[in-house]
Amino acid sequence: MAITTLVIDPVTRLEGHLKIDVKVDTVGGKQRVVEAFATGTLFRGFETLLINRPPDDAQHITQRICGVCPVPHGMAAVMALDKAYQVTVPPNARIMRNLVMGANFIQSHILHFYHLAALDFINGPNMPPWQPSWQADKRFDANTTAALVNNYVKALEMTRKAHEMGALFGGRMPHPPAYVPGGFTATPRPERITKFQTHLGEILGFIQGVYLKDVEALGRVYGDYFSIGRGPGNLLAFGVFDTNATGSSKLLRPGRIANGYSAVQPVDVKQITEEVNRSWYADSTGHLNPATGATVPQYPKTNAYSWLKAPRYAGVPYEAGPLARMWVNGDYQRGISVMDRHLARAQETFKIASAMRGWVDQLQSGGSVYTPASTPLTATSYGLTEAPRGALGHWLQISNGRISRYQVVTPTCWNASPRDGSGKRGPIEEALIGTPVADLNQPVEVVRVIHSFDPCLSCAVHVMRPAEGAKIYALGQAPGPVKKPIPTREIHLPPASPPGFCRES
Amino acid sequence: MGNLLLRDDGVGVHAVRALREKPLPRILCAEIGTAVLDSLHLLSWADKILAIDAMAAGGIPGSVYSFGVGDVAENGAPASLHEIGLLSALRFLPPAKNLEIQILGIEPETIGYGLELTPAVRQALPLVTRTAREIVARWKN
Repeated sequence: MAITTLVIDPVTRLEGHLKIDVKVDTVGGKQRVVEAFATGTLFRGFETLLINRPPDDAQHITQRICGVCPVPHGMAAVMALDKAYQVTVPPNARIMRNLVMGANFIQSHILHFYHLAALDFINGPNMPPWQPSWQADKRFDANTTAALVNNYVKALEMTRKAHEMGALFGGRMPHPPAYVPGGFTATPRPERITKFQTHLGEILGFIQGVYLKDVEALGRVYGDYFSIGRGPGNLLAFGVFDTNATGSSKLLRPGRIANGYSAVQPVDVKQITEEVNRSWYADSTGHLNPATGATVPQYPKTNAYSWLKAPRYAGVPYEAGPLARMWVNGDYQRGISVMDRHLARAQETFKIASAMRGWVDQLQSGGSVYTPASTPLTATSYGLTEAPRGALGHWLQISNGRISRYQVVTPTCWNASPRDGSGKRGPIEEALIGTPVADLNQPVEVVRVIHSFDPCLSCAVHVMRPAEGAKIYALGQAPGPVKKPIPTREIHLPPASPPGFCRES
Repeated sequence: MGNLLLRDDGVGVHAVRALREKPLPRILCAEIGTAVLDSLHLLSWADKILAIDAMAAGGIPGSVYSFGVGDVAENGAPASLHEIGLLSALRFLPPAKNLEIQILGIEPETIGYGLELTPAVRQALPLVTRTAREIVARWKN
């Protein structure tokens, strides 16, 4: 058959805008994805706006990169600044930082499964956000579907409580202001600790009794997804949740796996480069370690197709995320696939929430949360940590007491990266190759592979429209005749398919 | 409700901030922004709601409309959780909940990146806040 190109733009139910082009052909009698291109359609530019600012602004500004996982950006920034300021934070501050970030991980993981990913598998009730959707390959029976829809609502309550936990110590969620170089601005107060523990206990019950069970059920009903969406087979983790003052001990340690071999290898930060051959950035900024990296947009550019750079470790693409972390730590090594990513993420949620219970007990009421820190005139530093969706690094240079260079490498840059100079695909692109597509008009398999990575690229319009024949009363400002309502945003919907899908044969 | 970063889309948030300058006893003035699903606990806690949001009804920019929740069109398929509207969010509440919901809509002029309202929409704010105060004053009686 002729090769068919399917374009999904935007891929819905993720934050930010990701466009995916896949080419489908018949291979061995079966329609499969034979080529894939992932396009980040937004220029981030935070690096540019940090230049010449006081270094203490970094943790506040970089958190605004996204509201879904702001805390890891605050954490990466203060880790880089702690190092630059040569301060060691008191245990209370380390624990409070971990607890707020742990709450963000729990919130993000539960949200990802129930509100972003599960809808690819569930034929929910006839209302947004479930409909319109592709009807293909929905395998759950009516009772299970109803239970999962019910858990969607329950999960909303859990994510709200997780956010409250973050706000109890962090001051607010998202974008908690409490992270500062040298420590934390809030002290552990007994009544807040108690409230934090209450929410944590309830959420742990949900993770064990509902979330883990639902993901396991998904794995039983969609067992074929244990062999779909493998990707490059390289896994990378920077590690997260320091359990001692130097960070030499962590709940989830750093490491990497190459070519699917189970021996964990160390991470040498100098081996990281960002390639820009196929990205809309000046070629002169390619193949640089983020410590000397630069952000110089160049659009248009021949052969470029993404606003994401292509981070590589020793020239090779790596997958980042919960599966990478859990594999490196020996907690989960079943395989690398769509379903393995969901299972590893759910099991990690339980591991983190359980550890948090112990951390809360280590808080010392009245103990210090801050080591005085002052901005050096010059410094070079970096902070490596993890966001819910994978390895995150901030690289920083201070000159004359101001930020002179700042580079952020996000997990979605690793996962959704475009090709590099040697033509190697990014992990999501690679994971799509070979994915079966049963119905060209409903390539649900493609979306399932993409969502398993929990990509997050970053926001939205919110306008009401009157219904036909609505009774509306104009109160002033002489509206003139109320005309036929005009949709504020044109969405071209082929019958029963999500927005932004088109097929070109 | 609305996105403060998209000029007139954020008119509801600007109105709530103006309303907060003079407190309304027993009324919670909440900035929902685009986090409608995150406000479910507020919706389930209240017994009367006045929602203020941009409303594309086709009048001239700055027109102010008053209507009931049944007169709002359901948004199309959301591309993001931030696009889940009030109407969809309400369906998550227990059916027994008998909420009284009224809406003030303001016709936007420009929806695009920016923190400032357009002059036409900014000039409509006093009418919006005055009407909002009248509506909640009637609730107390």
